[in-house]
Amino acid sequence: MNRSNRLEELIDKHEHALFRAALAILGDVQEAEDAVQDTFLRYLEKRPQLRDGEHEKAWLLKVTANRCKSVLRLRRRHPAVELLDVYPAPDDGCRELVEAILTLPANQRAAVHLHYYEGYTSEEIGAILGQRPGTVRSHLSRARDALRRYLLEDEGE
Amino acid sequence: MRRYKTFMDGVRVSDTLDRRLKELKEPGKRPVPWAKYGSMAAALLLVVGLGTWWLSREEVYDHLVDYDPAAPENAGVGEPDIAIVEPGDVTEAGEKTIGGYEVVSGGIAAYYILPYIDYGGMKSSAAGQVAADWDIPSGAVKRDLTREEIAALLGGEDALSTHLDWDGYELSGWAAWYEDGSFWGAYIYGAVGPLDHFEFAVTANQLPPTCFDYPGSVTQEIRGLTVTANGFDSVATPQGGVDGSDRRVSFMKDGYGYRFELTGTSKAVTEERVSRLVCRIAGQGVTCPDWDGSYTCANCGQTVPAGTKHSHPHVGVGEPNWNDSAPDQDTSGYDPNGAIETCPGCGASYPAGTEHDCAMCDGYPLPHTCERCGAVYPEGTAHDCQLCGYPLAPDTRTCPDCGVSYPAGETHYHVHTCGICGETYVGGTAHTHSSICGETLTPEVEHSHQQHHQEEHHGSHH
Repeated sequence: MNRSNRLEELIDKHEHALFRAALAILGDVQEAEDAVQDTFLRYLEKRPQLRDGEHEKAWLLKVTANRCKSVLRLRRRHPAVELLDVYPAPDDGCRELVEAILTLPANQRAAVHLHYYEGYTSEEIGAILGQRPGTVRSHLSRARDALRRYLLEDEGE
Repeated sequence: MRRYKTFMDGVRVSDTLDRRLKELKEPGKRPVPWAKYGSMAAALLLVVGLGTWWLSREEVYDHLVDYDPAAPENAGVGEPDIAIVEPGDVTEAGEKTIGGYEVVSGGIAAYYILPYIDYGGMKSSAAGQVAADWDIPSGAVKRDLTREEIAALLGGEDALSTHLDWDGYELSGWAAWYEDGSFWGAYIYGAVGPLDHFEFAVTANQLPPTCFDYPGSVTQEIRGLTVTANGFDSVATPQGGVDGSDRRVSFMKDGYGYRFELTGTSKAVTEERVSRLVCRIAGQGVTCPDWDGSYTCANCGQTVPAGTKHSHPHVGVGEPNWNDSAPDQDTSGYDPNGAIETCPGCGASYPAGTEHDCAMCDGYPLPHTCERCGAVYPEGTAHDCQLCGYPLAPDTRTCPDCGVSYPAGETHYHVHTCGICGETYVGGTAHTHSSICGETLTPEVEHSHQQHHQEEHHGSHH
């Protein structure tokens, strides 16, 4: 498989996951798109030897998370485009939950997304975000506390 | 999180981005970002280079052996637009290290090497307590530190997070100053749950006092500091307990004494955090909070210079209010010349007009003592007095007949105790003699109901 085909394959396979993760961390569509583009650029530059699909995805997520961290460090403004305006929630409950998640600190949003959406363990999230598993668990715990009402509603249905 | 999954499933990359991604071309060489930060990195490298010129190349690599930016786990992290400046700090030749950590700021990544600390035989199991019960010098003023002040003491929020790895710790603390405003010391406590906590103390010109003596302590030179260290490990047994590590260090730096004790469930993490603190203090020290004795009046917002008396004229007319009653309050703890107040709840001194974290007065400034129930509560807040049953507020009115205080704008009723049945009831409301015959006395008879009731009610029975 030549490089071009390999890149296309990677994009098709992971672009949505990377974009969702970036969006969860940044909450800004434009910045998330840039982060994903930077990630694939980085891939082209580094051409890392990755063991398998999971390693590949984890590597790409790690680079995306790092790009997001850089964006957050330099951010001087609030998100330009509201996430829920671009991607409307299917119902009020969902909208409230997403809004509540967006009010969490970025590191908690990242942990929540990678754990609850991508299904990673705290150890795996720690490796992706460059944090200790204990720190990740702490972020998850705080996020759960903040979202408790929404989670209970979610479970109740 | 079913809803979150549903929502995220609907989030997809736009066709535009998909097209942009598939049009990406492999860059010929590293482009703009290096150039962007090139001058900054070069300047920093020059500074670092001057400090490390005497270190041979081999020695530098020895120190960096635990970090390989090209390793698979580090690949793609922060590169290529992050200039790696290495090392971020300088170790003595031959000094043992326990790895390090990277801090990225402004496009520059600096790598800090953490010193290895020998904690000795770790035979002492005495629970350490650095400074919970310090006696600050007579005349010194102690006040609680805000989170921002704690961060400032140690170099800012970034320092807490990236250098000290204190993310997640709930921080509290206080500082004390001599009468002349010079810094005496500060104490910080941090905790993440009951098993992971630390105490950090710094005092001017001396090591922070401690009530404990730790045998087996090891004194060693680290980054130019004479560090005394000891520790203790506990291991869970079938009978119970948990794995835990306790590490303590003390040292002097630039005229300030430091003690740091950290307890955690992971030995490696505990030792790393202690090394991080020693590394940070050795490099940066602390920025002691200043206090010039002035304070901001909580009532008018005016900045009152140290040693200046500040008071408010009584502005109310008509019914008495809290200002009118102020002279009757216990003011023994108030020192207008020093602008210091003593909390009547806990006895602690603090600058007038500042927040005081007292369990009795709930952290609010300028507490008052309720004349009826003795409860201490902050001025300007409602007080739920157990005796009078009414919330007391700044606009409180005091009934001239019964002395009960009540909020302005609300109707005030007299509370009566029936001389016949002993029940209390609110004046102006009907009172039922349930214990006698169940008959109700109407509001109109409230001030003479006892006699009225006895004559009318009991007379009819006879």
